Amino acid sequence: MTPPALATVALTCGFGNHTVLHDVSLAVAAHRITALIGPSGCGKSTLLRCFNRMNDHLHGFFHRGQVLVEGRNVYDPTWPVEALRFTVGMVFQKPNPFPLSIRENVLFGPRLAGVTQADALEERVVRSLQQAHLWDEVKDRLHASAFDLSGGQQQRLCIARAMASEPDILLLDEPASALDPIATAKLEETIVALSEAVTVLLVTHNLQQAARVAHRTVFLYLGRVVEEGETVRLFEAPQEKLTEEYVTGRFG
Amino acid sequence: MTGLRHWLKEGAAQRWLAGAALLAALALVVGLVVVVVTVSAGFFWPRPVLELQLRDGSVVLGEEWGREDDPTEAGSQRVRMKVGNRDVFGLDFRWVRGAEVAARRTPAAAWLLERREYGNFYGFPQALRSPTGSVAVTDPSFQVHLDHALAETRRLVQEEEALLRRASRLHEPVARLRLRVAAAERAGRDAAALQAELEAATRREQTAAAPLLAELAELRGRAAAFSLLMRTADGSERELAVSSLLRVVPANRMTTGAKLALYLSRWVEFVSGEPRESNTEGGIFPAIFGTALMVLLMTLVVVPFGVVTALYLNEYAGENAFTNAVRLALANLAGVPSIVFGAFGLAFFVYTVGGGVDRLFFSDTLPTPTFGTGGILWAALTLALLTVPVVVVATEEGLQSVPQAVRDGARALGATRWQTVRRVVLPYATPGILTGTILAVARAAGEVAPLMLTGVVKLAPALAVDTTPPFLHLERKFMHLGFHIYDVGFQSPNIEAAKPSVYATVLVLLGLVVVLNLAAITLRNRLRRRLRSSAV
Amino acid sequence: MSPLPTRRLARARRLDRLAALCITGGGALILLSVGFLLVFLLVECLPLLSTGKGTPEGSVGVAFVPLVASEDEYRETVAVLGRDGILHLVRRDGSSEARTLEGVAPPLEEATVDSSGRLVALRDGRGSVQVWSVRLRPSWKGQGRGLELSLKPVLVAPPLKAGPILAVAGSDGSAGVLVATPTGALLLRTGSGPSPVALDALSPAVAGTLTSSLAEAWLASEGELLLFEVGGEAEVASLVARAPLAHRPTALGLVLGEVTCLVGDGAGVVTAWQAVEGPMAGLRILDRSATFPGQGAIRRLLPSQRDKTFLALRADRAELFHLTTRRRLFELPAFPSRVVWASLSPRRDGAFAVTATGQVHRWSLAIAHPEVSFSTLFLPVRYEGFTTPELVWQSTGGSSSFETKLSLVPLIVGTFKGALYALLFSAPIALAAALYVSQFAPRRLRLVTKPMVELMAALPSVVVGFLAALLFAPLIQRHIVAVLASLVTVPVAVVAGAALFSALPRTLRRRLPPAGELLLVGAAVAAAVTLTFALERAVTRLCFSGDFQAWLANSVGVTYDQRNAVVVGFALGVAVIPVIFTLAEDAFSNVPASLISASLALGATRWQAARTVAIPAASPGLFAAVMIGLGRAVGETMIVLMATGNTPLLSLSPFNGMRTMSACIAVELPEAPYGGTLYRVLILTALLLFAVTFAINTVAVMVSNRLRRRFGRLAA
Repeated sequence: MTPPALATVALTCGFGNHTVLHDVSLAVAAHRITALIGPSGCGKSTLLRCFNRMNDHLHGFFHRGQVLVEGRNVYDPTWPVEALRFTVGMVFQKPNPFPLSIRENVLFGPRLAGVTQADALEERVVRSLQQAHLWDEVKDRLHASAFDLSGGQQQRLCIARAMASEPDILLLDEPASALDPIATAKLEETIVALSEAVTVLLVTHNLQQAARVAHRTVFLYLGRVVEEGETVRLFEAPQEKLTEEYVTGRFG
Repeated sequence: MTGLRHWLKEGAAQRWLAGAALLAALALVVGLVVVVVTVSAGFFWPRPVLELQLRDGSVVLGEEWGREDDPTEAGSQRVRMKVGNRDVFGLDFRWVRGAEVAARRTPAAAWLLERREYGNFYGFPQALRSPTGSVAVTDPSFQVHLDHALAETRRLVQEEEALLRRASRLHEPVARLRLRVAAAERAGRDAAALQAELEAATRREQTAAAPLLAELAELRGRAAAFSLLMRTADGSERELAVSSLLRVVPANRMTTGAKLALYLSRWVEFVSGEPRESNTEGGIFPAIFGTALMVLLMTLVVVPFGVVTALYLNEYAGENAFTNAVRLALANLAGVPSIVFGAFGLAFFVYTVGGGVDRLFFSDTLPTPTFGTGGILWAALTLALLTVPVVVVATEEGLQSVPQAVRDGARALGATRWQTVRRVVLPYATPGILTGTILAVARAAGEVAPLMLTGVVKLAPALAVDTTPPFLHLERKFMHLGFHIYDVGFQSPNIEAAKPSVYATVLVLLGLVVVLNLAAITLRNRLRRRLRSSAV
Repeated sequence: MSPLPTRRLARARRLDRLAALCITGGGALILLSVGFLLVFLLVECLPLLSTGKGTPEGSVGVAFVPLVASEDEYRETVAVLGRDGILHLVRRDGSSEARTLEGVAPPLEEATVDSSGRLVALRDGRGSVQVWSVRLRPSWKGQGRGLELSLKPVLVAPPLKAGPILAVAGSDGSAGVLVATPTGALLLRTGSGPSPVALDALSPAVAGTLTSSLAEAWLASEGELLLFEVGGEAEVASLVARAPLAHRPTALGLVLGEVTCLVGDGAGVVTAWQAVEGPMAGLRILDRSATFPGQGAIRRLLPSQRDKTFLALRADRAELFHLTTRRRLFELPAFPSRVVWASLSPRRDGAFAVTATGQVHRWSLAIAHPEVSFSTLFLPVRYEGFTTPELVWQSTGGSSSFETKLSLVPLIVGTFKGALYALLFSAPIALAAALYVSQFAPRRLRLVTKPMVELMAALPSVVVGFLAALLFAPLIQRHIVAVLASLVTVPVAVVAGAALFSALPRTLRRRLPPAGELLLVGAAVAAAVTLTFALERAVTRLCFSGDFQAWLANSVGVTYDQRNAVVVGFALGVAVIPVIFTLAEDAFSNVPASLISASLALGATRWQAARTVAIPAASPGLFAAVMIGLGRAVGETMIVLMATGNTPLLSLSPFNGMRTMSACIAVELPEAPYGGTLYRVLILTALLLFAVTFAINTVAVMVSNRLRRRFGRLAA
């Protein structure tokens, strides 16, 4: 049996004296879209950032338990964090294009990986931008600055940039939070299409978005996994009272 | 009483006073710049040559260079006349009291001659003597002949200078050997072999120089054949070698266009020429060059140093005592007076490091120091230390304008911290680094006190860059615009004659600093706008 | 997935670690540079503290009974005159060479040497007093340096009845020897014929000394010190001044410069005396200027020929003192007993002593900076020729015997005087301008003001100093009355203008844009300045009888220098205003806007909000701003160098110039020989300047940090 794409085993972590996640054990199946939902501060983003070790850069981070990517411990000393991040891509809340051209933004990862052949690079640019549903909009101005794009386009560029490294897994941290409804719809469409190529773990505080996009949903509350299951089931027949209260909008 | 108290509470008086303070501060800076520009810009503008007929029968010919209340006689004024002809009168300037003047004329025939030595000459042209004969001023072809004589002598002078340069290059090996012989004798070593070598070199130089000297004499003879006969104000005649003349200005017969052309050509000469007459005349090219080269050397040191420090503080440092100590050190570096850096530069760079270099590599010429005396390298290093805080502060501002999300984005793509810094953060912070560099350059260009201790001189015999290997001579002393102002303005024996030169230098330096600062301010404002927009 | 090439990744990680190391190193380098700068300057001036030391260099024995000795300049040979009338040249290795003094009848009864060590006076077996010139000249014949001795008699007097030889002085051509008599002393001179000059002290002299010009002679009798002048038409000695002595004197000596006479006594105390103008004009009195206590009777006083150091020889000890610092430097270690003669080497780099047992002992001396001590740097010192202790900076003088006067106090006072006048002018303007810009001015004005003030900060100080000295100093001199009056009339006019403005109808005032109000202020200022300058002549005629400077000199007794503290105050203001303004403006704008809005909402006027909220809240920042401004003013060099007369006078008058520490370093350090006293004192000055600005900056940073913490919480 193949291991789950992402998993945690009894993960407890936090910053300084403040514990954010308590004894979280979770498995994310490959090639599916899994949504992490929960009220603000419940630890969704922290959990997400455990998988590519982005929390390590934050002051006072500590953890116990295991974080597994494709069955392998992310803290395995023989697995450099940079290599891990090539496997696990990430897109942030706010679009964060680099001060480079559209093309160079996309090629940032491949260049780090040492891809130098012109045709391989070209192929990556086209495929990534197509995967991010951005190709048609930017194909005539690949050398324009990334800052010239609109917010939604910038976010899709960030997805393309992440996809250009050909990751197995893509972490999305509330990717639509800074976008207007139309750009959000376009982005969601992109995310759904992506799941053919990669495993997607999506953090969102937008329940409708989770319902629209995700195959599976995990509900986190106060740093614990309250309930997980197929999205339709979780939303329509929550087993926990907390889940029911949350999905019906009684708190959050 | 309560009315007054109420009025004070309302604060119109306080507000007006504060406004007056602001106006005073602004007036100070605007006034300063305006005064420099108005005073400096006018000196090179051609003035009419005045002829003053005095009551005692004598005649004063020259330019009017200012007037003031006569201290000996209330209600009347006296005029400062630049009478030139230093070789005749001894002094270029004299006061003429208003009461003395019987008549004032601007004779059309009066000329101003700008000379290589002894300053200006004022007089009336009489005749031109050349190898082909004498031409009187009344001759219609006089001007043509004069132009030809000027061109011819200028060419001869250039050839002469080239010859002298070749001769001095021939002398170099002898001079070097002489130093080594002297050093060997002082040290008590056997100098016989060196002595023999020196004699041989001297003989070689003499053989090689002999034809040059002959050529030189011939050139000088040819140049001396051209001379201009002038009549001075008091009626006596003087013959001036045409080769000694820089410009012949028929000052009272010039059109506005000609005046403008002369004005511009004087500025060009000032900016590109060599100084003459112990810096009081001629150009300031060596000072401009010295300033630029010193600043360039400094930039090569201070920019990497400053950027690395800013990177450390902003990207690498943790919140700990060490970082705080670095910040405190930086704050103090910014507050320490520049003269302290000068003293440190002299004691450490010049005497300790330079002295050490001399003992290790240049021991054969000791005690004549090579690096163990002030030089352009030491000055640049001292100023680099002085300007590090400027670069750090501006670079930090640039680094802070880089959104954290961009750093995270790069790290999430698998970039190491250094790759993130190099490929994303630094390009983002470039305007900040550029601002810091410009500000540091402006600061260094205007700073004088530390240079006085570490290698600036009033007259550098040679530029620090030339055609003799190793081409860049870091140990050489150099001239500097700021020091030039101090030196010519305060140490010059003939301050009145030096005024145009020193004021023009002030204008050049001030212009340089103002332009650099405006560029930095513009750049930084652009950066700040981006900082604000990215924060939204 | 694209597998990352492991080697490439490893390289990237290695590079990353290297970069982190380099960048952290770069940060550390800043800390190191500042620390190193401090430590290096400290180390450079540490030798000032040392009083020096003497190191014994061993001894060699000679086979005769020595009387007196002197040493050559290179400390290679000691010429020892034996009782046998033979001069022995004793080298370091113990080898020696003998030269007979022709015509001298042994055994010699006594002998003495002059201060330069080149003249020897002796009394031979027949009682004849003779003076011999003994010169050891270095010669460079052949390989290495040799010594050439020239020996010749310059004075041979017939036997005479007189006491012991007191002193010998002069040159080969004109030598003199002082011999004690029952009523004082006799001065025998070359070329003076058979009649020597009598110095009449009414009691026998026990010690005496002569200036090398032979124009003055000091005698000490049982309880008195006397100064004679020799000369005039009749070539007689006249008593000029006298003073009682507390103890029995035993030795006299003239310190280099021959102004101060040292008196050693039986109680072991050395006192220094000089002749000064007494209360009655034209009459001189002897004045004791210093006392050097010690134990054990003084046998001889041997001044150095290089500086104001002298060696005091006691029964079994020898100590070095320095006149200017009043310090005992150190005692010669391992000093032998039964010493008959001892002296300092001509270059003051060594000392020697010969004992009755025929041993020649040598010491090398390392006394780098004897003329500097804490008290000479910071406290009033009574220098030679001064009647009271004074604070003086005078680093170079005309002659080699010049007493350097290195008091830092005039420089420190000058520095703070300049800074103070600068702050008096610039702090009110800068603070008020910052207040106006941050509290009252429209935003647009701020956008114009900031770059202009930054430009002001960037003006090269050499340009400011140049204009101040050559353009404004003469202008201010001519219009000093108007300039000073403007400091009063302008504020008065502005307040009056404000009053007029307030009297205008409210509707009219409302219609005026804020920038328009500033224009009105400008008009008021311009009117005041114009009026003041127009009235200057009349006011000067009325109050100062037409000439302010003459009035100042006659009525107040203050001279007017063209380049004075007022000029410096204005010029430094140009450098200081932008510093204070920028920081004060920051402090004001760091006050949370909510605080001011709250105050305005309670019905306060803008001024009341500023007075009760903005100014108190920003006050630590304003204080820090003024401190940093002070730091800038203290350290500024070129402006004060050019706009002051650069005279190290101790005067607080605004119409006099001064010399600041920074200007002094700039002017004197390039000329100061490396490693010399002046060099080290100037480095110490730089260190002091560093310390002062360091303290000022640190205080300012701490204060503004506290401010930031306070409002950091409020803003968050």
